[in-house]
Amino acid sequence: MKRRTFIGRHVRLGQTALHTALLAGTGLTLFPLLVMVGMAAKDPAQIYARFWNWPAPIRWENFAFGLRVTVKYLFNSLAVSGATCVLTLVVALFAAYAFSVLRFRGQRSFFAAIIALMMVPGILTLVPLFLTVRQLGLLNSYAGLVWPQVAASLPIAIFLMKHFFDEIPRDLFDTARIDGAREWQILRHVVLPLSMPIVSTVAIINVLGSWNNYVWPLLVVRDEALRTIPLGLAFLDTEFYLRLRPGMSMAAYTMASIPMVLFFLFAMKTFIKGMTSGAIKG
Amino acid sequence: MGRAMRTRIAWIYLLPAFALLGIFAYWPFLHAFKLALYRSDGLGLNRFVGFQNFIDLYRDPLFWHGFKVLGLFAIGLPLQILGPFIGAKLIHGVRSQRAAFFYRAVLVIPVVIPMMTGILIWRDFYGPEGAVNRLLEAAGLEMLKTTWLGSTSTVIPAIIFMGVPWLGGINMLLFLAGFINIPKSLYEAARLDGASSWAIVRQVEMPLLLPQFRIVSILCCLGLIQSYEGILVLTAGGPANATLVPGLYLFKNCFEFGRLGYASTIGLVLFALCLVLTFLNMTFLRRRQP
Repeated sequence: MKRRTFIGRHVRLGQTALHTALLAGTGLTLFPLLVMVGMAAKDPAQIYARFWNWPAPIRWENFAFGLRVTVKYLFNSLAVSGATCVLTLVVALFAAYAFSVLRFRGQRSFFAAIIALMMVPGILTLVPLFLTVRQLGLLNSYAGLVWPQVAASLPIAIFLMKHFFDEIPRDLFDTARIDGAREWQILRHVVLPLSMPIVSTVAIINVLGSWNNYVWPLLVVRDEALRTIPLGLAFLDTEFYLRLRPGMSMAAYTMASIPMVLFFLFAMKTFIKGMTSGAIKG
Repeated sequence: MGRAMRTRIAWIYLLPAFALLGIFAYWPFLHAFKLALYRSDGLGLNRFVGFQNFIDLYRDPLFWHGFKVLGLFAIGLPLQILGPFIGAKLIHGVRSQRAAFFYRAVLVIPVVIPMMTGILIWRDFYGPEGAVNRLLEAAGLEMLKTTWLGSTSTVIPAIIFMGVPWLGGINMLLFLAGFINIPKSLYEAARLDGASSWAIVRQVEMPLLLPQFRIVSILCCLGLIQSYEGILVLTAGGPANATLVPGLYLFKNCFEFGRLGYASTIGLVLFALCLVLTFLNMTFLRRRQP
């Protein structure tokens, strides 16, 4: 009995220490974001004189301004990331199916040729890729934003999906073929329903990548109307009238962050699983 | 269905992927090698110069300076690798499922905030009237106030510090997945042997999480070599080139100085560096595995 209580106390003590450390960690993580929202709710005088105080009164007009300036960037980001994600998934699904389920001459070499691309860093191809896109006349267009990002995400997408498909029992395909199913029907009705975990993993990696991409839109986009969130935010405080109004910039950053955070909070389980599964196999 | 037919279907399924990769991946990759042999401004000028770019690069003090800067930024790597491990270890130890879920969610939030938001708010925080100086003021440490991004001695620590508290992110999730996969029986056996908590970390958890350590460290290293967006927005390489990493030097050569061939040459050197690191990472693991 005595020993038991000793262990119990030991565990409780450990738990207290854990919670203290984690609360400090989460606090430090959230602190910059809280400062951002706090500044966003203040006018310049409030920021200057009462930086650490609770915003009183709250300057709601800052948030209205933030929404107004970022809404078109949000729309562009949504369009670009959405299109990039869907196109990557469709193209990769077919390719992975061919590599995993179908048989053809040179299969291994062609798969190796795709895997090899994962070793090529984006920084090496940045300059020639820009030249290619310019030559194709795709500068300053959605196509110029989307297609190169699709191509950049294909190798890892095909790799992850192929290995996932490899685990599906081969009998399923044989049965379906005997039943007279065409290959695309098998892909659509057998493979796809079984592959939702890997599809969401690829989708999440893809959307996080394109949502955060700054350099590529910076090179491709000329018109203000085509700016995505990172680009729009980065150009925001080149606007003269925002220089002396940090609250308004902060409100714009806040509004631009909300969609992804909301999505994360709603789909947290899938999100967290998607970010880790498939990434590590030994 | 005949064999020939199935081969044809396979090719139809692969066509979109290889068409896209051909245009936007394989061709640019090959073009990068070609460009490195030319003096090119991307417009009219396009003259073959052989290995002159490589020679110029070898003699370019700014290029070598870039690697020194990279080395200084690398001081932050242990934080980026061990931090998420500690974060995962702490969360793994929490008994209450609910609390663990909460901590994990909060520590992942920085991943879903646009990276640009993080960069821009920190740029503001480091300003003369920014949050960092005000915090020092409030703590009575006014003598420490400075323009953090404007001085060569503070700019790199300031940029590394943006990752505070280094516990979370995708890397933490990778470690956590590893922790969850460690069989409970191993812990019990270790406890029965009277192993201390530290011994369990050293002799059970760290060896079993070697794959995670390996992937996180290679991703951090490759990321360090390749990423310059943050620096581009925060300091554009300044002050006095104190943050001019090779990646940013590449970017500037191409899009500011109009030296595309030279930029491509830098790209090839960085590519080689990435290959060497990946190779070392692979052989290191193979030797460590029983």
